[in-house]
Amino acid sequence: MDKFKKILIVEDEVAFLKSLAGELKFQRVKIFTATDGKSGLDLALKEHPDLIFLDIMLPVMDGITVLKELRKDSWGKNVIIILLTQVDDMNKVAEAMKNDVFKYFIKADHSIPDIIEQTKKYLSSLDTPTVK
Amino acid sequence: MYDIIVLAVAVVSMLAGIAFYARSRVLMFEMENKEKETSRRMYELAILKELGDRIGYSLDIHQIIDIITGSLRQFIEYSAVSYMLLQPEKVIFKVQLEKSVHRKFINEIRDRMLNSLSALLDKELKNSAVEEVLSGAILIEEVNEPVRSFFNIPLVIGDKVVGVLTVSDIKPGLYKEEEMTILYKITQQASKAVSKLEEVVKTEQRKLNSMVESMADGVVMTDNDYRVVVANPAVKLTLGIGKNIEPTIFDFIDNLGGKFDIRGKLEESIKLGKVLETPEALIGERFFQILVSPVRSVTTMSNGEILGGVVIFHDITREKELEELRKDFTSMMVHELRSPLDGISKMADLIIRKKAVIKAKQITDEYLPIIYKNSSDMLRLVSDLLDAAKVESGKYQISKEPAVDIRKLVDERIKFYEPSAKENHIVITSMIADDVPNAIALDPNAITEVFNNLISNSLKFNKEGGEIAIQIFTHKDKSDILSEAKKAGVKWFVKAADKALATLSSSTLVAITDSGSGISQDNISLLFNKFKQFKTAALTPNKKGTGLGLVISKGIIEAHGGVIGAASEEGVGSTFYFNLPYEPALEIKS
Repeated sequence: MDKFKKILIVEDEVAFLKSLAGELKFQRVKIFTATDGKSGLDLALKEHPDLIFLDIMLPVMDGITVLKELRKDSWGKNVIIILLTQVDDMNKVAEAMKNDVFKYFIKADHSIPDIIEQTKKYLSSLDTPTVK
Repeated sequence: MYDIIVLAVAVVSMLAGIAFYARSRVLMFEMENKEKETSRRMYELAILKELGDRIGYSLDIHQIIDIITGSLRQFIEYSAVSYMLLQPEKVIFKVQLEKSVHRKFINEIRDRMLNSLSALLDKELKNSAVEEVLSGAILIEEVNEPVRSFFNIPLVIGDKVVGVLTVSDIKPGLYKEEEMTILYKITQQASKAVSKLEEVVKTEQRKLNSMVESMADGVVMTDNDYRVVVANPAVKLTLGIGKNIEPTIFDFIDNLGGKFDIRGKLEESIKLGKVLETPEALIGERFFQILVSPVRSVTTMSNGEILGGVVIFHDITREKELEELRKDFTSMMVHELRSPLDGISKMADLIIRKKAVIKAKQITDEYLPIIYKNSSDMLRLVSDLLDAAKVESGKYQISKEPAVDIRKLVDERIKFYEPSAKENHIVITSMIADDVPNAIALDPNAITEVFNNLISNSLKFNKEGGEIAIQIFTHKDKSDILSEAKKAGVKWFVKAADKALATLSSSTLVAITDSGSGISQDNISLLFNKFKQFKTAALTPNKKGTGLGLVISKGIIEAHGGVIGAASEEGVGSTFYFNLPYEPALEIKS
């Protein structure tokens, strides 16, 4: 099981979370989910996922804070993070980009298969040892 | 005999002729007099009309007297008509010569007039202060004739002597009462008109001054040399200039601290004669829209001349805040509506695409409840938004029932909320004073919603082991609500300073007091604001509801003719209150 990639989804919109998780179930990945920033951060630091889908607007601790906290961590500073945003979050996205975010999706503009398709290259890059 | 007859006839006819002559002489004289009188009247009217036409609304006394003196010769014979006008620092002496005179003549009238003016003003006037202007005929040395006819008419505006008008001639005995009367009448008429105009101007000026004084916008006006002419209290407050200071332009430059180039803008505005607008400038902690405009003269003499500039500071901080709230509101709308809708859409898409592989049980047990929850949340939000919009546009409709038992209504609400209150170890108590009527005209569904909103808020923001007190008592018109509440045993945080309660008519008062964390004074004023509430609610973790409940409750209570309000003590608790005014019919019954 360990060769399965671990993916963490931190998202408070449960329908979106379940849709993304439901779709990913058909991939060879192990899925973790959290619906608020704080438990998302805790779960990330505990499970060390290979990739994190992170919503920006989150209860308890917002996504930007989670991102900054992760980048402070020796493991977390290199983890692949993909932001999930609303259209109005562009300022926050710009701020997040400074913290080495790999990609962002404006949720309503992409279908789930599209999001997964565009994310696959980051996951496959982990398979090639030349790329860190 | 014949001769005698002839003579007699001749004498008779002569006598008759004499008599006729005499009579016609009298008639002619009367006619002449009448004609004279008429022409004088005509002249009077003409000159007054001319004054009216040419002066318009001018208050320029020079101009008015010039018009009088310019047309006087039609009626009065004179060598010179002259006037002396008192100015702040000098005396103007203007002479219009009809005939050539000797210099001594001028000196004589000048001395006489100055003496009269001194006497009228009871004040010594120096000859050196007199500024002389001669016009008309020239001075001739040969005509060495003194002043033989002369009369003065004082020029009075309001109750103040401002000068004298003089008619003089080298011929003796020229001026009788008639001439003096007519000139006196004319000057008096003119003086009356000017006095009246001055009074109007003064009243307007006072109005204008008090308007500028009481304006919420900061106003500062300078002349062309940037001397501050007017600075109203608002502008002083805005820029932190002491109330009793007469500020200079440098005070403004210093206190603006480079945030706005007041001198530069004034210079530009005065030079170009244009209004300059600075849409937004941050001064201190507030935003201002600043207008700089040239000030133009509007008097007939110097029409359009630029007298200086005015700077108006219009505080737009509140507008900016509302704009921010509106923006937040829009982004919250995106989050609260678009996000769950997007979720539903994606979930349905997943089910459709993977219908071959997803188990039916997962759809019914996992996915459908989420779709149901999202859609009901959105439905509630949309309904609340619509209600709030109705409240805002004043179209919130209630349907009153004539006799609702409020005791029963409250009991039902307590039963409804008791389970969730118990979960949080919160006690809900009720106290309804005996004099509260059993039958009150109200919309039971709408008032139930108000209770729901207020009680659920009290639960949400209460502490564990806290209390919620629902209290109802009667207020009689003109009685002191605080003592009525005290007598009824109401626990609340309302203070005497609460203005909303001061003007309530006879009504049933409901107060819901909690032992929560309380609300700061600043936030109380925003409680019933749609934008603010929505934002707060959207950012609150584990939120329930849309935050629009208070906005809608306000609409419901106002539709009942009542007021809703809140009072609080931070860290101790809050009270939300509303009143339901008595219906006139019910008041008679009770």
